[in-house]
Amino acid sequence: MNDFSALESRVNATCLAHVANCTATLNGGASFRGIFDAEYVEPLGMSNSQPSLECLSSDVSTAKHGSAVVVTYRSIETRYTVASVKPDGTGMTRLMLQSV
Amino acid sequence: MAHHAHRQIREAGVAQLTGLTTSKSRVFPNRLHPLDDDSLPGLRVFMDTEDVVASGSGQLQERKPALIVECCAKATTTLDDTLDEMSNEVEKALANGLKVGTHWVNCEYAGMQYDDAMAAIPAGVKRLRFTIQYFAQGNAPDVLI
Repeated sequence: MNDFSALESRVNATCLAHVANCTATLNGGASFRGIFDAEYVEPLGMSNSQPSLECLSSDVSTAKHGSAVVVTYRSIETRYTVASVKPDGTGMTRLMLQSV
Repeated sequence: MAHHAHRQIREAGVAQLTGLTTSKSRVFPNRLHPLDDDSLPGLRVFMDTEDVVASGSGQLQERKPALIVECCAKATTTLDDTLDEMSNEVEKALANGLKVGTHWVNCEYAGMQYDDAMAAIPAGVKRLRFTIQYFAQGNAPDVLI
C-alpha cells in the first residue's frame, strides 16, 4: 500500500506550484513560495485586516511568535512579524501575521 | 418635545469627552459602525442598562442608567498603555459629573473591562462603566428634574 504521507507531500508541493501568489523569507533566510491573503476583519468593531501566509511546513520550521517575515506580493514587499504559527499536521502551515 | 433623557445624557457625554488629548474629536455616540483608522484612537459613548426606583411620590422616579465609554485603539506595541491613558483622560473629564443642559447629574465611575483581539494591528477596547443618577417623572422621561 502506498504511503499516504508521501502523497500528501506531492499534493502540497503541486498545489503550491500552481496557486502560490507570493514569495517570502523568514528571518532573512532563503526565499520560498506561499499563498498570501489579508482578509478584512472587524475585531471589536474596528476595521482591520488579518494577513496570513500559507506555505510548506518545512519552509517555516523555525517560525515562532515574533519571527520576521517579508512577503513580496504583486511586486510589493511588506514586512510582518509572526503572531502565531498554525500547522495543519499534513505538511502545510499558516503563519498569522502582524504588521510592523 | 425634548429628546428622551437618555439621548440628552448620551449627547452630553459626547460633548464633554470631545477634545481630550488622545482621542481629540474622535468621539462617537454609537457602537454599530466599525471604526476605521481615521477614527482611532477614539471613544464610543452609549447607554446600557438602567435601574429605576420609584420614589413613592406620584410618578417621580430615581433613574440610574449606565453610561458606557469604550476607549478604542489599535497598536502593535503600546496598546495597553494607550488604552490606560485614554481611560485616565475620560475618568478625569467625568469626575465632577455630567452637564446635561442646565443640570449637573452625578456620574460615578463603576468599573472597567479590557478586551483585545489579534489582527494585522492588534485592537483593544477598555470599556468604562459610569453610573448616572437623575430624577424624572414616569410620564415625562424627557425632563430631568
